Formats: sequence, C-alpha cells, structure tokens
Amino acid sequence: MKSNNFQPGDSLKTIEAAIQQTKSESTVARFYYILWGLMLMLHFALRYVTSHYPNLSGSLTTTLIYLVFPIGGLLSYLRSKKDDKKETIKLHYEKVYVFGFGGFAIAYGIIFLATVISNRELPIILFPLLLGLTVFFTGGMTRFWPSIICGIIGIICTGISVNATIETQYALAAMASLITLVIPGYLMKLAHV
Amino acid sequence: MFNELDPILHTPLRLAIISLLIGLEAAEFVYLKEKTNTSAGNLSLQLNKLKKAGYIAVTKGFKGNYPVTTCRITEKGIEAFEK
Repeated sequence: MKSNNFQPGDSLKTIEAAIQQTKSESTVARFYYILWGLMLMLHFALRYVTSHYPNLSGSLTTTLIYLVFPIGGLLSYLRSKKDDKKETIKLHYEKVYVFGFGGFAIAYGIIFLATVISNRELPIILFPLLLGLTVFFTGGMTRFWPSIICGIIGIICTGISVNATIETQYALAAMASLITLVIPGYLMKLAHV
Repeated sequence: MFNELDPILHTPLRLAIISLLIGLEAAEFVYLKEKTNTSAGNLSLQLNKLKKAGYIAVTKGFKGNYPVTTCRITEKGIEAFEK
C-alpha cells in the first residue's frame, strides 16, 4: 500500500474495502446451532416416545436420553479445539452468542437444580420459551432474520404447551429444538453467516 | 465535505488496519498481514505507531507452541476513526 497523494476520497475506498472484508467473515455458531438442535431434538423426541409408549422405557432408552448431553459436549469441545488452532480473528457477534446462550444455560441450569432440590418435575414449557427468547435476541443482535422468526415460533410453542399434556410438551420441545436451532443453523450455513 | 484526516490515520495502511479492526473484536497479526497485503516488517512498524498513539492494543501470547500477536482497537482508536 503506497501513501503518496492519499486523498479523503481514497480513504473512503480503503474503509469500504476493509468493511467488506470483515463483513464476509463468518462465525462458527452455525455448527453449534445444528449440533445442539439435533441433540436436544433427539433428547425430547426420546422422552416423548418413552412417555407415549411406556413399554419402550428401559435402561437403554433412559441412557440414550441422557447420553446426548455428553456426546454434544464432547463434539463441541473437539470442534472448539479445532477452531482455536485455525482462528485468526474474533468477531463482535461471538460475544452475543456466548452471553445469549450462556444466559440460557444458566437459567435452565438453575431451574433444573431447583426442581431436583424440591423433588419436582422439570417444567418442560420453559425450555422452548428460554430457547426461543435466546434465538430471537441473538438473531436481532446479529441481524439474521430467520433466527428472529424461528425464535418467535419457539415462543409460540410455549404458548401451545401451556394447556398440553406432558407428552405433547415433549413433542413441542423437540419441534422447538428443530425450528429454533437446526433450521437457523442450516440457513446460516447456506448464507455463510 | 470532509473533516481533516487524523495524521496518524492519514496513510492507507494504518487506515486499513483500523478499518479492519473496527469491524472485529480482535485480529491476529497474520490476518492483518493477509488482508492488507503488506510485508510483516511494514505491518509491524505501522502497528507500533498505532499502538504508541493509543489507537490499538497489542497482546502477545502463544497458540500451542507458536507465538501469536493479537490486535484490538481501543476506545481512543474508535473515536479517531469516527472523526
């Protein structure tokens, strides 16, 4: 880059070129959206199956229901290790995802602990609500419209769950996982966001 | 029509560095070198000037066994860019 006769007009061109460069960078969020969307969908789908067909609920099914979390955790860890090696930049958006989904995990974790301590059933309807809110918020902050729309659909699932049986709540939670995570994740991949 | 350009930013390379950093949380030296298409020596010199002016913060660390230089724009750098 030569600095001879650098005019204000040239500076605008330099700024525009740099902004285009950074705009074209994408986050790895789409991988986690798809992975956790599938894991959570599987978790709730299995819970639906075992509550709808009690004769299928054995130790293998119960193990499978909870096995999705360590598998998801392990795959996420391996992917983050791989990305750390290749990554040469950090995007502003990454903080939005970290705080958004970090808040979701803390909120759901506290509710889970509270139900364990008080020996009560975990209110499943809170799952699509919290997930929908998180996806809606992160979609708004990153200006990704499919996430905003899918987040609203997730919140609508909560509305439907209010008067539903526990079985239907599991089915709706599985559907919310697909709509709020897998679909936006796949669209992010297509749009290279 | 245009404000007087900040003398620190009045070079294509330093302006390009700041323009890249404003859109990012942080960038490594290799990324800036690739995007600005300049030599490591020249980039290092310009980064030092921006650092001395307080426009960027430079941290040195390790990624595995390899040394890594990471740059971030500071509040002062953002203000200067916005002018």
